[in-house]
Amino acid sequence: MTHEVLLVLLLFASFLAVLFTGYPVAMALGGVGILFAGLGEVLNLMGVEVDASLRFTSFVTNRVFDTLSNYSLIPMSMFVFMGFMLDRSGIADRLLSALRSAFGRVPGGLGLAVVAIGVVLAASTGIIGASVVLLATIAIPAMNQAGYDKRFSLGTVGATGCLGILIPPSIMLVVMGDQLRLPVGDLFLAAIVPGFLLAGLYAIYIVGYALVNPAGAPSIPASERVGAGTLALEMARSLVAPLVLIFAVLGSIFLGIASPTEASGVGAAGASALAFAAGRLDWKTLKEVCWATAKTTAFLYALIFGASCFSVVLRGYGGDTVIAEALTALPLPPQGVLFVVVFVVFLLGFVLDWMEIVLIVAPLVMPIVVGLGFDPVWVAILLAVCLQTSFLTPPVGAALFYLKSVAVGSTVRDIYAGVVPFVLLQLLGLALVWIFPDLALWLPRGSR
Amino acid sequence: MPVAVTVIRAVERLATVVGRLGSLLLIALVGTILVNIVLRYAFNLGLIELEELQWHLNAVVVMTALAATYGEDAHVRVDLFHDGFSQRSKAWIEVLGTAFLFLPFVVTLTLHAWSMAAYSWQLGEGSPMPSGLPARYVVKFVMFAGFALFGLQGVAVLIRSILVLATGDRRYAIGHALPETTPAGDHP
Amino acid sequence: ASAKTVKLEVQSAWPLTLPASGRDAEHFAGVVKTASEGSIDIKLYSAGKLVPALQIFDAVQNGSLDAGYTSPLYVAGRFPAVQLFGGVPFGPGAVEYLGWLYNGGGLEIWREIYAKQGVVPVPCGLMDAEAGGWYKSEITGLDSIAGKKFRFAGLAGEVMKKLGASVVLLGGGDIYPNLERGVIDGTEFSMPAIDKAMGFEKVAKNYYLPGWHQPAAINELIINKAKWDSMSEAQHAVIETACRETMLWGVTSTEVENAEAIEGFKAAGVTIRQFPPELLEKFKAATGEVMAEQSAKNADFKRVWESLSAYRAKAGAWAAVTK
Ligand code: NA
Ligand code: NA
Repeated sequence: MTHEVLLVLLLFASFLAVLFTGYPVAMALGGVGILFAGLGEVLNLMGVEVDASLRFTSFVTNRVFDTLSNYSLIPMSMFVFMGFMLDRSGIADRLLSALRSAFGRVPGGLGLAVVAIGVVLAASTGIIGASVVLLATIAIPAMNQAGYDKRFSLGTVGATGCLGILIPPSIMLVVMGDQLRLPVGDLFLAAIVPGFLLAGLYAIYIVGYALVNPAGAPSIPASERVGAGTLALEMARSLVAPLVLIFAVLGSIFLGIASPTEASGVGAAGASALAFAAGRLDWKTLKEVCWATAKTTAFLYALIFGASCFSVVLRGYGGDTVIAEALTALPLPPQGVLFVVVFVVFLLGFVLDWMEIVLIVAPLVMPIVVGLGFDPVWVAILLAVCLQTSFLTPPVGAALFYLKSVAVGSTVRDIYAGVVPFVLLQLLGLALVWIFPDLALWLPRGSR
Repeated sequence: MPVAVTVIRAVERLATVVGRLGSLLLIALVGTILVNIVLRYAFNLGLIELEELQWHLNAVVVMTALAATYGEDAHVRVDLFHDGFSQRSKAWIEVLGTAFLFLPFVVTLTLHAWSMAAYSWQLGEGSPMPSGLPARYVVKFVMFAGFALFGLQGVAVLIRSILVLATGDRRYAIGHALPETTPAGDHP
Repeated sequence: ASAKTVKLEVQSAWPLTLPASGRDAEHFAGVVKTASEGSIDIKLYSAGKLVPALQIFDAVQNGSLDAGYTSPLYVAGRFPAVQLFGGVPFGPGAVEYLGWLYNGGGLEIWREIYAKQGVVPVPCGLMDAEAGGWYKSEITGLDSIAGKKFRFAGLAGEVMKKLGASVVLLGGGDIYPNLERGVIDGTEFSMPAIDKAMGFEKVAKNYYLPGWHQPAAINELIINKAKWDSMSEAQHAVIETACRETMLWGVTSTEVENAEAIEGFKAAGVTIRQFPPELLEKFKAATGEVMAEQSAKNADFKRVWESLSAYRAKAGAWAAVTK
């Protein structure tokens, strides 16, 4: 038992050590995983029994192919394509400057506009890489230009982009439903209010930040303000195109014309059509958009490949069992047990991928929840908010890496610092859902 | 030295060409999705082949772009301390990381991907759906080829980093434009 | 004779809590542990822990995994014939299916096909009829099928296409949102106890029982041949017997749950319906065409299909009585 704990800790420590050397994250995950698969082979020869061995490298390849053939991940490349197309065609620019003029008088107005766009995106995709990258591509340059504090912008975009994994459709809720044996429909309904609650908390924080620190989220200077008539005209001109696009994407989902996966393709095509209409789409632009998209998508997938390797080897060292035993060892009252589970999921979120956490924790949580009489849907939503937070918690958070890859000129330090307030807001949201279970349960109950 | 530079150039040029060509399949992917939607709604025609084609295209885009993305140093790093390191330290990190982490990872993946593709070819594997796409070994072979190229790019990065250590010239570092092929002694 | 202890690593294709399939895997592992007095040290992994469901066969084949607990339907792309061992549209009922496998030559062909791959199959889980699926509106005849969009897998999907439906491929989790928004007009899924966890009753109000597309289903334990050969005959017997027992346990383990799930659907406002007999005849005719087409394409498929059909022709008179 003790050698298992030690080896699991050594695995994590090795990864973190490599991570902080600045070696690429995807390769650190994959490489440390493979090294430890090899170490397992050696340990077995030495008579120390571990499951991990070189055959795990074959499992990794199986998992890579499974990721490549996952139809549900297509929105990743399609929404990234849409983001680059909107960016290169100047539509994103006009959209955000229009929004800035419109909301510029409100403290933190542009930040609020980003949250609004983030919520719309969240309702159209369930894949997190897609929403963070798309939002960062179009919003970060505009926020920089408007004089927003760099870290504040990064935090806003990162946190808002992560709403997509909570607000349905959400691939995370689907996997949780599968693992916890809960109706996916109930989970979707239950996540809506907490998702909007978090968006609301972000909005309040943004306004508060702008009031306390106007230099970090400046309003439009009086000299740049225009009359109501001019503003209305400008708005009408620059908003028509993006609104048509939003309607095309969301409309095709809600009218039942396209699946959420296909809708991302509608978005990519729509953005290209708008760029063409604006006379900004030539062969060269198209080629460059494709190339930028392919590189970003390859980087997103490489992270998944690496994480998949690391997590399967972690399992080979009994990581599941070690964590499970830590979770169930404490003699506590029901609320206490649940608190430990949620807290440990939050902690695991610092270093592990959400999928891994779900696979480890779900089989443990279910008997606890059933045995102690908690509403399983409520518990699932608590875990979901926790897992969503894990995308944002340093040092290992997918959203942080996505931001880093597209926000040119920002350092990881900026990103880490920028997301801290939003992680605290996530915890506040989590506390509210804990104290008021109806926030999650009201909608599914109504439909039961 | 010129040999080393030639190798790097050749590998990186190949990676870029393959990646750029592969990326154009995104246009086909967008087109396939649209055609699929239109056929289903306007003509009540649901083609499983077209749905499977979507992930096939996406997979090819990913696998062809991996290497060039690495060549441009676009795989994300936690630069918290990295930015403060000296040129030499950074080069050492690349050398050790590539030799002991990246290459073992990619070489094992490449070998297994080859067996997967070969087995699939031997069976003539197709989609589990009767009217799905045939020849699933094609996409498995692309996975193998993509990892092989990814590994070659890793070798190029390894040579680059060794050159940085040997010459102290930062232009050899990953993601930088190589100096013109001249004797190494010409550089400070 | 007391055998030396063998370690057997088994990857399940389903979460171990899943009624029928997943729970059967866990039950099987428990029986093997006890019956072998620990001489088979079985370690069971839940879905996706090591290898994804669709890759289990390859992992067992190349020996990186000792064994897998999965469905023959998952390798239809590699061995089209083998799907006939997993579940057949208008195929045999549970007991008749086993009759063919054990006493009608089915299992021998199955073993032969896998033997070429270095894999030993043991039939290891049995389920009776699946539900006929969830539909947005009532199915009154061919008009309710032609021109509509359904999520249907495998051979049954081909049958639906023949009748003019457009068939959509969707992963497990994508079905609900697409059914809700009408991207699809209906879907088959599984038995009521499993369907319950998807919440389809909220978004489709017509539930059809039973399912023509799969009157019975069988799961497989697949073991790497070298691993199998390293075990003693006694250990083989434990595994084969445990699998036969698991079939009995599994097929009887869900009756109450299925009934309760159906009551729950009714309470949620769902109407329980049956397909019109004329439509079933059309499904049946189309199934015949699909089987003929597949037989023409693949010699093994033809062989298995003919063996099954011959057995049913011989046993049919009695099977119809006992059904
Ligand atoms: Na979403
Ligand atoms: Na994290």
